[in-house]
Amino acid sequence: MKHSIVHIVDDNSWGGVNRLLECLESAPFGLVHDKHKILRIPRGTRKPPGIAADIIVSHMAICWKNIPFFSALRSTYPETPLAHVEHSYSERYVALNVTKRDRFDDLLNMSYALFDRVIAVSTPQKEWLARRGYCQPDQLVTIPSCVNLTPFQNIANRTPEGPVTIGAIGRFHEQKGFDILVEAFAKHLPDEVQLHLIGDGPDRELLMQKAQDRKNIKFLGATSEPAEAMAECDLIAMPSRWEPYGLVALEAMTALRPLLCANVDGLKQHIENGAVAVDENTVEGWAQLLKGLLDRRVVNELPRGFGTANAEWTFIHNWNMVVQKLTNLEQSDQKAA
Amino acid sequence: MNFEYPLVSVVVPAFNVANTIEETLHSIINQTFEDIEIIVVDDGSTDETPQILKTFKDTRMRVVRQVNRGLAGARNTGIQLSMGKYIAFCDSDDVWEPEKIEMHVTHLNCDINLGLSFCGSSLIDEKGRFLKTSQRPKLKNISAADIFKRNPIGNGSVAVFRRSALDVIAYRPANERQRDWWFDETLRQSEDIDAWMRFALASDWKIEGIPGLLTRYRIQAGGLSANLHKQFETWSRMRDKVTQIAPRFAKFNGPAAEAYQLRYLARRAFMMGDGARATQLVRRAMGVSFAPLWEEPFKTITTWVGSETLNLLRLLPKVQARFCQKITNNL
Repeated sequence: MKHSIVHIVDDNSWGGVNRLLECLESAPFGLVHDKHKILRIPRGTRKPPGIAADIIVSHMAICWKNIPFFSALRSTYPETPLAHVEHSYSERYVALNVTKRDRFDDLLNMSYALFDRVIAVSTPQKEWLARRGYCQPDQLVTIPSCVNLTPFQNIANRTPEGPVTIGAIGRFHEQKGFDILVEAFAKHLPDEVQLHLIGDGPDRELLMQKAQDRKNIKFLGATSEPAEAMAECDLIAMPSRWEPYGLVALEAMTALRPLLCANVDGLKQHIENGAVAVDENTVEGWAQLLKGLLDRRVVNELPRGFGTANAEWTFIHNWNMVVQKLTNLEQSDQKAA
Repeated sequence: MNFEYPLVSVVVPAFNVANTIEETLHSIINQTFEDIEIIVVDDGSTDETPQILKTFKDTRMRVVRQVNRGLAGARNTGIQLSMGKYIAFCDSDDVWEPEKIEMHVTHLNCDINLGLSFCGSSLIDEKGRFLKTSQRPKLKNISAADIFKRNPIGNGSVAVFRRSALDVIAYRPANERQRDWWFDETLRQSEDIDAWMRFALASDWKIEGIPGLLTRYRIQAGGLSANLHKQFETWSRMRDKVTQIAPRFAKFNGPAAEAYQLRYLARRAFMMGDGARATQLVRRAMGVSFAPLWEEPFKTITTWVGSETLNLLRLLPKVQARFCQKITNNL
């Protein structure tokens, strides 16, 4: 039986979740067992709209403002299984951003209690949620995020000649730690090695200031075709300060580009899958590492990720399983009633 | 035979501490909580420390000797070799009260989200006599900002970690081939606060103190702490590291933390009788941030007034000056 699943997203998560679900839509016929749909909720909505679905999946951020909506959702659809995908929070996020920890604990405990399933986007995130006891063990599932990876699979390998280009892709925000990378380049690295910053965000000015007009640091702006931007890079760097999952890592490994990333949160999983860990996520740490990678032949010797070959299928399979379990749960509840 | 791991590992870094190590080790061996292992890391001592260590016959104790790597390096080696679920540090000139470990173990057993348990300290001099002052820090709701500003985990002999929590600050520098680092071995001072800061900014493990002065912290006249300028320099390096880890946090709390650090140094200068230096430092502190003044008005004002007075006393003849200083010291 084909079930219908409605994914509710707010304006903040619209773009990202859209890409996530494209992956389910673009799958070959028959792989995805159920019908997935997106429902966009305007910010500040209190009353949930009429939803005809077998399962409702929330991709909205957990915050005090959304609590009335979540509780209304639960009480409007008491029989429908609800799941929540945790895109926002991770251990390092809390360490760096949350000052009132007790309040935050209350928020998560209270919100997660409204859902039948909480879906973690990476194993380290799941371990953190379990350790802190925010959810019941049988309430927690892990579904590593995925996007349509086809454009990244078709990227050609780099030739062994020419200067090394290092790519950093993402929002210019404290989270991504590009300031560390830019400073390492401006202070410690020779001119022949290039840094491509692909993206935009609130920290743009700060990054430009740190770049000190160095010619080898290029701001390429945000792009809708990250695969093309990645094709120009020999190596992808992720100096993130926190990262529940880290989609860029998956894309880089699919494109067979060596990936250097900070040893934090969800990135730990990518390191297990073959990315190179940068333990010292500081200017000096990165400078020291990158100084050894000034030659393309050396870069080409770096290990490549191997964890992406089945990423899309695993993602689809995981969703099928969650849907199956949740609908069985619903049926057994009805029988019991 | 018992092959189970001990519950608590005690790491004791030791470098040229022939005068104090015996007292330290006796205070550890005589703990009321007995399921411990003691790892003494002799960090290349050149005095009688190795001979003294040989006289200890307690089976729970191991001695490792290494080429000198500094305090941080010795602690790291100890952590690497430890097997306990909890790990405690004790510098080889400090002394523990007999119940210390027992109380921390109870504390850590009671709260699974607790990663670091600490306590207050009484201060002793070279001969082990109690000084009038003590360290009685804030114990509950410790945030990264608290550590940055006032460092409640005031010395290297108060902290007891859950091992799995401590491991969040483990890292492997690019040129290190042997083992991980927990404490930063490139710092020769401020390695404690650096590690506590990284711990607070890298994890959401709870940090909490227990009441009571369970550690005796030895103040060495003319020890490391005497060089104020250098001390501020290493503190600034620690601050730079914090800025990279958490830029917004550092921007927000940095000035207040700097003011507290300068006030602390001013008090050290005052203790050493250097009024000019103390005045300079306390004024500089107030120039950076008034936070200490409204957060801890009494301590800040006494520091300020005391320094200014001591500074003015330079104008008096020497004998009278010494007399006045005695009075201010007793305040």
